[in-house]
Amino acid sequence: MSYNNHRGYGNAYPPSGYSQKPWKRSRYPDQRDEDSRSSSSYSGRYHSEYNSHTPSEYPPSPSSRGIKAAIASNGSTPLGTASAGTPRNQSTPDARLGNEEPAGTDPKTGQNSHDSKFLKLMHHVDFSVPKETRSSDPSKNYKVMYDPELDPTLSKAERKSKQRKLRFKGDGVSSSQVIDPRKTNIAQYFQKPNKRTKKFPFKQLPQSKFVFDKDSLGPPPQTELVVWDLPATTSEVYLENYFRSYGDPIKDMKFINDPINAVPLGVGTFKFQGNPEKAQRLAKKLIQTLKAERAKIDGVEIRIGLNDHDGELLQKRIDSANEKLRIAKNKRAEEDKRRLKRQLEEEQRRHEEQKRIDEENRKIEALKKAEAAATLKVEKFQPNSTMVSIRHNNKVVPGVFLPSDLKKYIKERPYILIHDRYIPTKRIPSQDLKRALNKYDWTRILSDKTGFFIVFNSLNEAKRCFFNEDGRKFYEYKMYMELAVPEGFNRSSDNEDDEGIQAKTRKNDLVDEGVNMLIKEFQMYLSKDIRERIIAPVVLDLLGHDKYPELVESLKAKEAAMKVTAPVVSSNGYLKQNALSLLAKQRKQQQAQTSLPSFKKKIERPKVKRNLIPMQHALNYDRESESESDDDEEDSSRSVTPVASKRDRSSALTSPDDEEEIEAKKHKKTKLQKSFLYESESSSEVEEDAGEEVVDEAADENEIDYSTIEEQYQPTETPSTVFPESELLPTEVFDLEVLQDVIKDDEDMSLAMKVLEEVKPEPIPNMEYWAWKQMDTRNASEEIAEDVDLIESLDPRLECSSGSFRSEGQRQIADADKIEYLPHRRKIHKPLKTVQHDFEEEEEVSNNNSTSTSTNNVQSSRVNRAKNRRFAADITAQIGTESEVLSLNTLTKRKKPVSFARSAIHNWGLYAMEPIAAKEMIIEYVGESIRQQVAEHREKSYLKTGIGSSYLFRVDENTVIDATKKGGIARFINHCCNPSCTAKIIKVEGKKRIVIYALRDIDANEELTYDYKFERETNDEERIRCLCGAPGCKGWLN
Amino acid sequence: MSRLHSTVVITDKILATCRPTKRFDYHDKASITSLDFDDSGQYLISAGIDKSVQLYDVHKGTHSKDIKSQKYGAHLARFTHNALQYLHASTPTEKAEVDHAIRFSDLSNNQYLRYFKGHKGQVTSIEVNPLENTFLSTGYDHTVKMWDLKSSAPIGNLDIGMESVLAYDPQGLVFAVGCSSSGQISLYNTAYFDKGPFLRVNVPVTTSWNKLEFSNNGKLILVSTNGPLHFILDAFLGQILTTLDTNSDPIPYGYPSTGSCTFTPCGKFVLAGTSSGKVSLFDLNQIKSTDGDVHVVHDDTNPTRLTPFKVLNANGGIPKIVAFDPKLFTFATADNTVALWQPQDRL
Repeated sequence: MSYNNHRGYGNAYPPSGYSQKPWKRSRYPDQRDEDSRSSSSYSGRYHSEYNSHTPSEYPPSPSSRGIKAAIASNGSTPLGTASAGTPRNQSTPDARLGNEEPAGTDPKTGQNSHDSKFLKLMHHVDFSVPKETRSSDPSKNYKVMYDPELDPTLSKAERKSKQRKLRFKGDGVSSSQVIDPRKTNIAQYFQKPNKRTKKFPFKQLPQSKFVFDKDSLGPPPQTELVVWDLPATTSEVYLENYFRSYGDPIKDMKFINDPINAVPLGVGTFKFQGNPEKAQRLAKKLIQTLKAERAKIDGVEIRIGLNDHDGELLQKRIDSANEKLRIAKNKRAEEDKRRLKRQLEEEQRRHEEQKRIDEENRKIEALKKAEAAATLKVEKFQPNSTMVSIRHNNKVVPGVFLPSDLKKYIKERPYILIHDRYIPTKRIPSQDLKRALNKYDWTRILSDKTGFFIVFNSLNEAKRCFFNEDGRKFYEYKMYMELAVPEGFNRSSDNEDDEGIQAKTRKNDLVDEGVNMLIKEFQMYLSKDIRERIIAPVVLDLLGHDKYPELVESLKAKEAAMKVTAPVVSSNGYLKQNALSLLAKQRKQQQAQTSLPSFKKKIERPKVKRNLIPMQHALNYDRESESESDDDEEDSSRSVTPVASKRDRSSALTSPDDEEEIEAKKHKKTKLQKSFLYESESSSEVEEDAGEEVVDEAADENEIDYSTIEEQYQPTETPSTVFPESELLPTEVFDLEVLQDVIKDDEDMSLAMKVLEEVKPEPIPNMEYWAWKQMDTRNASEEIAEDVDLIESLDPRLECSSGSFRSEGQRQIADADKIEYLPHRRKIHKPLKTVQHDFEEEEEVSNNNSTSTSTNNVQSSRVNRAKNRRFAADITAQIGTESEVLSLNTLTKRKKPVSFARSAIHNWGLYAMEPIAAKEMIIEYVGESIRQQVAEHREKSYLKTGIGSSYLFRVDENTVIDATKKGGIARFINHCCNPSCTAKIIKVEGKKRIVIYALRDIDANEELTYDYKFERETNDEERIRCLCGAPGCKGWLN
Repeated sequence: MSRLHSTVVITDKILATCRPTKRFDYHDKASITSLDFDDSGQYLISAGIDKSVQLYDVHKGTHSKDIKSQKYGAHLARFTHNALQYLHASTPTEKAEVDHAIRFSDLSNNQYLRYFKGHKGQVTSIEVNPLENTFLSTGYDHTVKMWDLKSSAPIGNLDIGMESVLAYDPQGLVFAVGCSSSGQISLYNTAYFDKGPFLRVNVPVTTSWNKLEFSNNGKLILVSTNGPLHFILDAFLGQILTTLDTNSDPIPYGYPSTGSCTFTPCGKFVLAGTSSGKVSLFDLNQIKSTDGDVHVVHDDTNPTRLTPFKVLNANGGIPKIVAFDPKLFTFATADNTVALWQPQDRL
């Protein structure tokens, strides 16, 4: 705003320098007629006055300013004097220009900066201009006595024609009438004012309630409700529904979590919907009702309040909740600390133990090496023996497995057997195997339900093949071979092929070998004799149970207690096998050449339990038992005498040589260093016998276990860790074969007979058959064990280098390598718990009665479907035409609850949320329906953009459904060679739709799979590996 | 009236809790020159130099209508007794292509009902008779004219010779014409005003006046000035009962307005806007008036000077215009925005 914006009086008044004082007014002598329009006298002046704003044609106007200006120009006013002489008490707003207050009018200048935007109007007042006055002219005063316009009786035309009647100066009104009209009835004037008047003297007034909008000042009415001290179980949705039950819709339900660790604080806020006033009203109402009802949520009384403007209440609640959490956390932290301390102590203890064990292991390692060296020597094998796979350290076992129907093809030639369980004969054509082994001069390859038989003419060639190919990978399988040399194999025929010298040297070698073996054997027997005949009786005498009845009892009790808690040890198969082969080897020289063992040894005998334990253990044991039983035995006697216990004992008492040899043998067979210590002959008999009779008695099973102990744990001081390992092995049944192994010679036999003297032999009508049956069942159980066994072996390349994959960084595993892990993921075919892992316990409970529930579910879903169908039919009957909506719904109605989660097969998988019966529809494969050409184009572009997974589903030659970008979760269903579902293309309303049906009953949480039925890909590079891991997996998707 | 709650007695305590709760900025930040409540107290109307008239609903506290009057300008928008019919003065530009007629308009359909032509200068004051459908106006032509809403010609005329301010008494029996130039207040009998005033009193002039107002109880006259001092006169004798001292600078007006002071409906308090952006509250309970010669008021009966018992901050702008709702405990102030005030801390 500038000076010019004011109607200037520029020349007459300096723009500044006036103090603020009441305006000085001057009267102008000019008695102008109010109707006067004489403009000529001052028109010239106007120009100078208004030129800052307006052009010269200022219209003739009776404006006071104009008049005043004219007067001023006349010079007949005291204005000039006033301006020149007396100090003016007026202030001009111009003096204070410049500081404008944006909020409104500048209190100092009175200028509103925004006014400059608008046109200057007549009613603008320039306070620099004194208000001019003139004397009033009473003659101009009049009152209209009659106005035709106000005469309701007149017509419009008449109103115009009639004249108004004016009364000037109160003509005819007596002076006595010029009085205060109020005073005529002053009492009424004050007491009874007219109620209709706008100016009624109300002493009290109602208040209006303003709604909140953008014009409101201050904060909006508080509508936010704060709920606190909520139980942790309350969810937002639940609370929202709860408050909604009070009738009014709410919004912005929010739970407040700790900003640092996202722990729910049990504090939530919400608002009612609607405008702020309504929301506040509802909020207040709710608070009142809740208070009155003492409403509870999850058994906790609801604490609720209206938040205040600064959110103080909320903050307070958050703080208090935080405080609570902090206290709880501190408590937890303390506990943690304590636990950590305990753990540390334990760790230390364990560490020491570990050290000891390591040392022992090192010893064992050394022994093993020696053993390995020994095996090399023993490697030579003879006809009617089988060398088992490298997985079992190429142990040589007597006897060959040869189905009788193949005998005529094999004709006593050496052959390699690859068991069906390693390479399924049904899946792999023998052609493939032939191709794989074409390097070797095999004669023929036969296949049988037991496996592949690769028959060689030459033993050498067979060996070459065996040693090169054993354990090698073949597709996703591994060829684990068994080299078998039938009984009737004529070595000479082998030799014929070789050069004579070679044969000779070999013969010599064999003789030397035999001599060595014999010597060794003799030595062994000598020491054994010494041990058994001389030392053992003495020791046994000393340790007889009858001598320490109390001790025996207490130990027994203790053992029993330990058993309950001890974990079950895996890999029984191994142990058994090891034991088997060991015994077999030991017996090699004195073999009875029968493949069927004589069963007459299998007689029930009274059990005698005599276990020996290593000296060290004995000491430990004594100390422990002493503390318990308070035995008064002398220390010395105890330390030298092994306690008769239920535990297995090592050969603490055997001669050093003896022990070494036995140990060496033992270790040779232990791969996982979990071998059981099989008693050396000297001490075994009695106690082995003791174990034998357990065969039929389940109750006695535990006792067998005493005879076995894991060697690596033997020397540990704390029996607790050793114990579980020595604990029973459910499959370790003392059956015929074990019995055969145990009783190795006539001496054993006689002893056994002696022990079992009193037992009546069970009458078995057909001994041969019975024995065969025994063996058969044993083999079967062995096979199961083998399956578990299989999982153990993994290419070292894929094994974890650091001990745990978790300690390593994340890395991609190539598809090819994933195959290797397949056996380890076999459990994928058991229902996963991915989806509901939180409720495992409940699930277990429900699993127990799952059979009943699942059938119920299935039924109900069927019933529902039938109901839906009936309903739809009803509707159609009513409406007459089939409505689109219903037909679309038919598929969605039948949809089963499924959910997707990570899959063991490939990235994502679809999982059943509840049991699904066979033939039920599960889900529709939804996606964009596109043409073949488009599909091809898209496939390429998807590949290019890095979408590796294909979600294209061919419906027919021309149509493909693409669920890559738009589609349902059905696209997550993985391929499986042994699928649980199948995809069917059905026609709904003439449109082809893909629907997934269950092929078989599906458990809850089981992954859904179907066969993709890809076309066979000719280019090997483009073939896709199948990772389904199903028993019948083809290995490829296409 | 469902929004209205139990009435509140007008006391100093409650007045002191008044705060602006609404601020309407619909005049484009232009200076507002008039505020008026309608008879029911439901509507508030404001006019500004942006040539617009704004209507507000005081029950809800919302802006309800924007009436542009670009052609004629808008000033002194006053409600008549008919709902939503209002008068406003024209504000011609200096080119004066528009006359100075007072225009009678209906808000409900935005139609002009009548033009009241007769003033030869800018109209500066319009006062509607509190009971009848007549009104007074005055302007820069220094005449006071009386009009009937049904007739476009004035039904009465007084030549004053000076700029003046007008006021009706609560019953419409008497009107007062105050001339700040001369400091004279004349009281006229509405029936015989052409005969001349029945009472003339002189008030020592300080600053120019912006408003005369009879208190609703009819006992007092308020002379609202642009300066720091306002005067309370006896409504019958015209003698100065007391002087209200806001102790602030004069309010710098740029436009004639409907006045910076107002009585509360009870007539016991005066609200006065001050140039410091505040509203001063004066308590007149102790002021004795003659009540029409019933009591004798000596010079020393009343304090010569009254200071505000409370000063309320308007929080923005100068409350140049103050108006109290006749039927609601709400008052409005305006500078370039309109603020509605309400007692706080109670509902």
